[in-house]
Amino acid sequence: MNPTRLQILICGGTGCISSGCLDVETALVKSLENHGMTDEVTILKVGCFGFCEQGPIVKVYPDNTFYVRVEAKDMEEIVESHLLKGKPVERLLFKDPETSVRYTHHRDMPFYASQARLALMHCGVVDPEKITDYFGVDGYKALAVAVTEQKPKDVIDIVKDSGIRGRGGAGFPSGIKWEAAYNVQSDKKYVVCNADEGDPGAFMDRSILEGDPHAVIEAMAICAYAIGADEGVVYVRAEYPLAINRFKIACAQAREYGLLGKNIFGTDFNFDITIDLGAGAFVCGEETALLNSVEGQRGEPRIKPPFPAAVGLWGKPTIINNVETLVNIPQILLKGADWFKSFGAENNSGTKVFALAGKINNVGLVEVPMGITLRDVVYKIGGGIRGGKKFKAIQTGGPSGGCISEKGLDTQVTFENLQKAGSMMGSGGMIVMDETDCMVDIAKFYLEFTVEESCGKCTPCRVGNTRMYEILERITKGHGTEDDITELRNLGETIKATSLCGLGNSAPNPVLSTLDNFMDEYLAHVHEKRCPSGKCKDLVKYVIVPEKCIACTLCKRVCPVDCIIGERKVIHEIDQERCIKCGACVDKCPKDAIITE
Amino acid sequence: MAQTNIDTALFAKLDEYIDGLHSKQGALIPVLHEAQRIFEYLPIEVQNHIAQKLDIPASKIYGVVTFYSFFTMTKKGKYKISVCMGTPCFVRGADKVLAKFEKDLGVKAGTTSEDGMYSIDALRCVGACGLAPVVIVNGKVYGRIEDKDVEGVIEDFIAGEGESA
Amino acid sequence: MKIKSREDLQALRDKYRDEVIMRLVSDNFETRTEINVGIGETGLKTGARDTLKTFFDEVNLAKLENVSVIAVDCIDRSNSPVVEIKIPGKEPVIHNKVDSAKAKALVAALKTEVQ
Repeated sequence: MNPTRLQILICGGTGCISSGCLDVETALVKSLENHGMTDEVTILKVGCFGFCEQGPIVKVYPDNTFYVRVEAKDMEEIVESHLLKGKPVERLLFKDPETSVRYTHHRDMPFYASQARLALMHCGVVDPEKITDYFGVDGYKALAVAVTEQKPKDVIDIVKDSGIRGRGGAGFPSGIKWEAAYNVQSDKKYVVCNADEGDPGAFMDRSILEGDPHAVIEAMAICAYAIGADEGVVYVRAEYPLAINRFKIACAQAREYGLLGKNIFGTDFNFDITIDLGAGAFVCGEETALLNSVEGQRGEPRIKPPFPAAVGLWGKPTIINNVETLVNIPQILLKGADWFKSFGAENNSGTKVFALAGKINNVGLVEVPMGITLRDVVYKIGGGIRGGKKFKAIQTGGPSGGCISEKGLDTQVTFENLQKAGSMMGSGGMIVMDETDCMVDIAKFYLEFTVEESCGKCTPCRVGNTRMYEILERITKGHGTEDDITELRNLGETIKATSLCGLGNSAPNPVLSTLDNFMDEYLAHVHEKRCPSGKCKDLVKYVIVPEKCIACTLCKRVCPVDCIIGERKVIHEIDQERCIKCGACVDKCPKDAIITE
Repeated sequence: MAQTNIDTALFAKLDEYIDGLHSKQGALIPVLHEAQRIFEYLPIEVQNHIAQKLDIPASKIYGVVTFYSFFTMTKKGKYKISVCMGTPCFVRGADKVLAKFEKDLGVKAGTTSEDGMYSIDALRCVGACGLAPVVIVNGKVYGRIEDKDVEGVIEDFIAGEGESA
Repeated sequence: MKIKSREDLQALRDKYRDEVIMRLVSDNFETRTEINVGIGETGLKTGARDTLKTFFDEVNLAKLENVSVIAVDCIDRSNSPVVEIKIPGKEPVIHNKVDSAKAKALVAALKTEVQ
């Protein structure tokens, strides 16, 4: 039998590897051997399918069955029942937690139905370690056409016309950036791919490098051709070993076929790529800080202008594009600017990949057309809030984005709208918070991150954010005053206006947006010394509701400081003076009689 | 050069790497990565050695090492415990998990226990957000960990001698 | 080998297209043609696996890109192996007792119909 007609895809993204997909693969190989089917089936480890909540994911082609949360022990049943007898294994199909409907095909699942996969088009389809798979999906054709038939200016015009804007954060039109670098005369130019994905909770760039590395190589080569560069650098987080490895393999394969190196496609175009590892500095996502890091310096941003397109790496014109931006380029050249513009909203063409996480049912990587509402992302794709809790906020744009409340849920996702809502696109993290999250605490959490990651070069960011953090610390400990709130806003606005780089300009966003949208929570902390969500330990008071207490002494026995008074048949009480607010009693109480106030 | 108790064979290994580079331009960070792979950490002796080899001021190297969180100047423990403190893990209770590890092992985040057995770090994001909160011990990933699971994790990695999964 | 021209690349694309095409088209439920081969318990006894293999090979040989050959549970036990062919926009057609020879003939007929 021709094995290409029966294929099993196992998700091999970092998320699924963490949840055990390697064992699944081993078990599958063994089961196939047992049934003498090894020659009939092709096993492929592909990039991320996106539905990380339900990993490891196994997909069977051609019938397209989508199995979720597969364990090694399930593989025998899949081989025996599905492959051998044509009966899909019902219990491993995705079951909607709300409706209990089971889905065979991923396309029908609400999680996928509203998505449009352009950037992730090949993730979960091609085997990232086989360049031949990429050839099969017209890989490197856009590069071939560009270098053999188009002038650099033609390529730039198509990219400009497509309206694609940088997916790394600021949303600057990529075509205009390319044109700027093209217009500068220089003996040497560089193309840099920014894969220093530092936003906690955002992992689209990693997934693309892991799932479709050749598209990134092809795009970098196209960019190099367009601006007249011959050297490329991929700057990737050292914390992404799998992505680095897959990218290295892909580069080696491309070199073998002459797609990197000298005289590409028999022309006089030369291009090759080196990989540089980041070393864990959030600020290096900022393009000029990244350049300093590549040069072996501390990753501190440079003053702009001059922009990197004129004076970049080693002082030469340099284009820095984010992974997700680049991966769109080959398809734009193949299918045309109008095709790309047919997705998305005005001035925001195409799609954006978001990493959806937090208190949401369907955690994962989703790609949606620009202009979709946050509500659709949270409820249609994300499947609503975990555990039936109430939605409180959605935080977009990473640690320096803002928190958008219920009333902003109908915001259509575009670069401008998110900014207007006090947040930003950033690299595409989307973290959902529910009623149990304290927004003051969340603001403090983000600011702690920024304080830690501020490079220290400019004063507003270095000192200002630290002062803001101290004020938040005071408020969450119950020592805050109304003046503190005013001061927070003043500081925040000053830092935004006067910092040198994008990190400082946006660092106060989490504070300012929570001040705008959740002022009542700040006021409760300041006036009533109360944390409405019960998160701020110093403001929480644990009390036993006498009507609910059954005097079982369970809480008394677990209390580490013996501050619970009472015995069997005597209703218990907590001595507030001695209570250390560890919460152990709450977890132990069988009647939920202990509440926080 | 400062008195050192570090194996000289390791320095030879590092020299071999540095000598093999075709260009020393911009090589500092790759060299530090390699050095940390060889020595597991970057003490002053190692930094001085690199300074001489690359002809870069030692003060500059110190500046770079302390700038990036990936580089460390203290040796890690036998069991390297990393608790992901990315936002998705945080909102699902990673702070409590971290506190529990600190309490149970008597080690503060960012430090190593005196006997050199355990070191705890708060990690930024490993991108396994579907498994939040995530804890990684010597490369083995533990997903969906709550504070009450911490004891079990400690037992598990000690029993497994911290083999990587 | 080094790729030296667009033609070189096209040749590689054509050579490896088979391996990925099935993954690309199998999401196109509305437009793809399905050949469903019943291979349940009865199917296995009556040689449905050989029928299935023939379909796989023949469809590949004929380079029918938008056709998926799918192994399903038994369709009709008394006439096994049974094959159902679904062409978009047309009523599905059931074929009884399909052996390898008949499978070859069906693919040949399909080739003229879907291309």
